[in-house]
Amino acid sequence: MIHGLIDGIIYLFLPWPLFFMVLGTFLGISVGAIPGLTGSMLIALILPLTFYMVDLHAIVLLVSIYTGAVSGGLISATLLRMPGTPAAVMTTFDGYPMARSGHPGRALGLGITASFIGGLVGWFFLYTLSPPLAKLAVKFGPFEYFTMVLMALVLIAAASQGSMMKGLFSGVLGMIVSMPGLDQSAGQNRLTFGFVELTGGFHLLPVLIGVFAVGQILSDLLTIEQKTERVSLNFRGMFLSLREWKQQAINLLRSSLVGTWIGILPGIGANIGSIVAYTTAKTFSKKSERFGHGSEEGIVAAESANNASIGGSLVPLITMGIPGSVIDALLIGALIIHNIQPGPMLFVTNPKMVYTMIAVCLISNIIMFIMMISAIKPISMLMYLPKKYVLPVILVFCVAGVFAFNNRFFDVWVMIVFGLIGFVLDRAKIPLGPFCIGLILAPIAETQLRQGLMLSGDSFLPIITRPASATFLLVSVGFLIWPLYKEWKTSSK
Amino acid sequence: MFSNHPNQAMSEKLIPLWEIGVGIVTIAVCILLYWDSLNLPDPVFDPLGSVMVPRATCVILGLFASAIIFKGMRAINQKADNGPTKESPLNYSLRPGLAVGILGLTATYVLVLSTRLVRFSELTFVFVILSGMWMGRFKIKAMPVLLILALIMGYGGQYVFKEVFFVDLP
Repeated sequence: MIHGLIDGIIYLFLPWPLFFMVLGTFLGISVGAIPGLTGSMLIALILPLTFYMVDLHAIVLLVSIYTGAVSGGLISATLLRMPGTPAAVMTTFDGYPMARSGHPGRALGLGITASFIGGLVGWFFLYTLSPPLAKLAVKFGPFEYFTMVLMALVLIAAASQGSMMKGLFSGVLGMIVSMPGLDQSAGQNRLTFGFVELTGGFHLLPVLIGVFAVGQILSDLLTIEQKTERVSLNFRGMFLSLREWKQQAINLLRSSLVGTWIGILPGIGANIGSIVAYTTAKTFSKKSERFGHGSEEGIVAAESANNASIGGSLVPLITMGIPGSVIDALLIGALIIHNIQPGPMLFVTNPKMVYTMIAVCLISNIIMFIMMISAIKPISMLMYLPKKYVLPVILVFCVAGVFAFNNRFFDVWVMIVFGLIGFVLDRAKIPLGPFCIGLILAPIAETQLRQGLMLSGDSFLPIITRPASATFLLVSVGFLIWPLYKEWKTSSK
Repeated sequence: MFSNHPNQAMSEKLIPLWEIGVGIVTIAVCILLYWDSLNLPDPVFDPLGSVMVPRATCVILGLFASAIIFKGMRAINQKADNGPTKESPLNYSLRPGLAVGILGLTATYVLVLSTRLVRFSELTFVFVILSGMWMGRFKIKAMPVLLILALIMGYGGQYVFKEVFFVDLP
């Protein structure tokens, strides 16, 4: 295990991987810092280009972007009160008031260091938990996989902000989008309406770029006139003394653990992790009244948790092929594009890939820390890039990137249609995370269920007689019923 | 500091209408997909076959869509019962026309590209300038930066995609 990690780290210091890691971290921080651009958007945009790269280089680049994007969001959250990424929403509550009161450097310093430590804690659990969990997951049969996918879908819908009903709707919508095309099990074309172009189904890439990039651009255009509340930039007090960090030690560790745990749960990512950690920190704080008014504990809790969830969310991806968050779903898409099947067998079939991913998670976190501490001033300037210059460039990348994937314009049209769908869903406040997870997981769920039924002689009974699948099913039902019951109870009052 | 902009209030009020719209379109799509699935043969190798999962998904999606329509309608009725509410103000105006316009411009860009009558470089050059100017309300001071970006994206993009990635761009 340790040899694999050391090999992975050594590999990362070869010229090309190092270049992609630094580039990915920088790009991630940059899009994280620019309000309106997200890590999901950047990863979706970069995906077609990775098709031309060595698979390991592609993964190094994408995981580095992931680390950078989750961290970069704190800059605009602190200095503009606009979360650069959804994961940085909680940072706005205390980061901005602290910056406004004349301490932007301290707010950023707290956030950056907490992100770094949170990232280390998340990485530690990724490294230690992944191998034993993968060994356990190898023993899973089709029914266990089917119920686990079901659980991931229900979990992300349950965690959707706003309405669970909308989360479930979004997830099932993603599932239906994955269905047209050739049914691999029976060799039968379905839901294609006779269109030859649909025989291969909707490819992941145009759909993801449409929903996450084009849809986001349309939303950004709607709010292009939005004025930002700037604070004067001074970066004094970024470095806290050891004594000051000692005061934050328990909060830091607790929030990192919460973030890691939330990350490990299939389907839930950094934004939920930071919300739960922030709420927990507020509950246990002796100065809870300071939360929302520039509390140091608030910044530390939110930022350590969202970075810890990166390592956590890579655990189900590596060990079971189940995405821990939306970005992980995109990473699965990247692996599939490179003909790599994520899951427990990855440790056997491609250990170099697994340990490189684990190593990138660690090293890019260190690079992120160095980059953000040393270059915070120029990075902060990126927040003020006018959208009228950024958005046309991204649109051209979307069109050229999607076309490059298959050299056909049909995919570009698919991207535009799904951009519109993403925009409309966003207007109706329907979350896009479950859509993405449903889109990627539905084929896995269907294949596993049908394989299971063939093995069991057409019997559904093993779903409840096998302990693991019964547990997953029970958890799914619990997560499904409880929020719906609460939602119904609230609305009936 | 903030001005109560009527566009924001309008945007919040529109959510139930968007919900109802999404729900209706989804139900229509579900009916279409279910109807198409009727042409599929019965299962042979397993009890589900190619047909059962899409059908079940259509039904479930239709149910959720109905619930969303119901939610939207209830929100509209509640607002009507409660009378006018105080909306949260924002300091900017929304530009729905711009969003629709840029989508149309992008669709036109793709349409012209797909005819292969104009090269990617020239068309992209025009697209970047046009869309950027539109986003900046056609203020001429944005032009120099947009020109540079258009050159990079058009001619630079043509070179990178064709010569480095070997993409068959028009």
